[in-house]
Amino acid sequence: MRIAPESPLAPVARGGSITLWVDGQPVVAYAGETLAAALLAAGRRALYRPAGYGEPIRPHGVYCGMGVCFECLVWVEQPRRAETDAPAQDGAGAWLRACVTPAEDGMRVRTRADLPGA
Amino acid sequence: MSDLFDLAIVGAGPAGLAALIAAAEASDGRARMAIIDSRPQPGGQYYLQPPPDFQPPARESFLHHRAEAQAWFARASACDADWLLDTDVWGITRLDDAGWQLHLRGRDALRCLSARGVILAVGAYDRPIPFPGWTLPGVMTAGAAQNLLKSQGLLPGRSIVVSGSGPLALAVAANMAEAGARVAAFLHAAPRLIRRSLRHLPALWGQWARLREGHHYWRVLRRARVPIRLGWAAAAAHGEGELRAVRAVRLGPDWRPLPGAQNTETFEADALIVGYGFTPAVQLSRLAGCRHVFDPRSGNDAPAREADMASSQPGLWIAGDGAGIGGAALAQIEGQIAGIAAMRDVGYAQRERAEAQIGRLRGALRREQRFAALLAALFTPGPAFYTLAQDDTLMCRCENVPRSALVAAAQDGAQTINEVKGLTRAGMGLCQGRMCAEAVAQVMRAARQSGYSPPPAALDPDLSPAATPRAPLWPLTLDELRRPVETVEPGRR
Repeated sequence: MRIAPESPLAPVARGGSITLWVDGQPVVAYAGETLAAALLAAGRRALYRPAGYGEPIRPHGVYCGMGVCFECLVWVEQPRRAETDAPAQDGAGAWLRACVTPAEDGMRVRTRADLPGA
Repeated sequence: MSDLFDLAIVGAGPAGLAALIAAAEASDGRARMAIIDSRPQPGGQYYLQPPPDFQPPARESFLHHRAEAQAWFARASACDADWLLDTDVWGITRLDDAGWQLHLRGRDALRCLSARGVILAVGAYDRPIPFPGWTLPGVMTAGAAQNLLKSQGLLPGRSIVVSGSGPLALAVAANMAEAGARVAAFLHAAPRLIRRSLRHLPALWGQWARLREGHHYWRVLRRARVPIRLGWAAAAAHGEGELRAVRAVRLGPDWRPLPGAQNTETFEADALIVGYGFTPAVQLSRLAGCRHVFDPRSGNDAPAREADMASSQPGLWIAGDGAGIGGAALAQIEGQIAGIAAMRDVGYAQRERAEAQIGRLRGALRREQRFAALLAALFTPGPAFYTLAQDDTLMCRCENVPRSALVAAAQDGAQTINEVKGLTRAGMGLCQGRMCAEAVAQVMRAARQSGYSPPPAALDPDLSPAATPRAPLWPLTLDELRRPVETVEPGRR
């Protein structure tokens, strides 16, 4: 939830309006926002499903918020840099930490929240 | 060698910026320096500011410390140094003659950089403490919530429970209320706080600015009529797929969650913020081979240091929260000392003058150290707090390792964290054990105490909460590794 302008802690202005495509749906955000901020503001909190033993594996979301825990990984098509070598879902792209990745206009993002296995 | 930096500083938060400025002054601007930070802007977590696209809040606040931050940025950017921002340090190796090589991952390429001296000013992260439901989306750390608010103007939910221990928990609860969220409850976990504070009154003397800040937060919470529970903590997060409610529990004097309905209360919430202090980021200092000591008072593993912030490795100094939690003010003093000491040892600062400068900082250093000790004494969770985790609670979030698997490994004879890691995969995931190491160590300590996994005398008796670190300290892709590594030299940017 973006904080209301009447709060003393609210920014006077955000960046210009941009559009991301998240799991095929348009999400409106503002330049300067991280992917995590844009996704949380859009109500999308379940982001990543860690691979590992133990089951059922349920989606996780933003936890540490400072690039340490790697639980907000999202798949970004053709991004500038990758965090891991996890295989591509569709074509070229990479897993990025949403909390430290700036949102860019037209960015195409996939979360793993909708994958089967929950 | 001409391509060597005189000094490389890892981290551009309060400690790193202070080190840079002090080193530039001590060397009269002659030292060739590099400063590296993983974020695109300097400041670290403490001076984190909104992105350049945003126009920040008009009013100065305790949240942004904007004027203070701008003053530090201005002084630091006036120093002659190569800035490597948006750059992770994933390895450190000792050079044959003298100095260190840092292995970097920039936005577009891997790089390496060699320096005669290195100051590690890498900071800390929120101490992760497992409890049932802590992996539900909607549960996040105090640092995460404050970062989202500070830099993004974002609240993690509409109805928020804050559970924690120490100044940041109080600050974040107040921040959330000031920013317009409904704070469903503020649970401050440290038991018997007021009684124990009285014993530490001398360390509070003189800390007027901090007491004023704390008083401001307290008033914000009272004015917003936030339910405050002292000596309580979040025991479980409930919800299907996302957080819906938080079960709080009253703690005994040793932080043990108390049984019984009268000691339980449930709050509806769509966000839970947890913050029980910090863990120093010791991955680089461990990888560099520095000696580390476990401090039971703070519950943290920290590098051993001399009075001038020198680590046990030559040419390597460590300043700020990465060497033990003390906050920004202590970090800045330590950074200054490390900067001066580094210039003294690489030969740019005259020895007597450097010693005199360091000597003048001792008083302030001691005062901040006393305050840090007070915070550790009052707010560090007791081992019993780790019993919040149940058999099926995921202790390693990356690899989905439940508590029962760790206990089974200990019962099967695993005696070190490395052995538990090998048996269970706890700590083998993308975060490389940063999130689970302390919890794993707690399980092992409990196993030793209950006698089924006695500590071999030769092994680390305190069971330092870390497995052996391995480079790369941050995940790299094969695509990055197959490309040529650029060497960064002074003045080349």
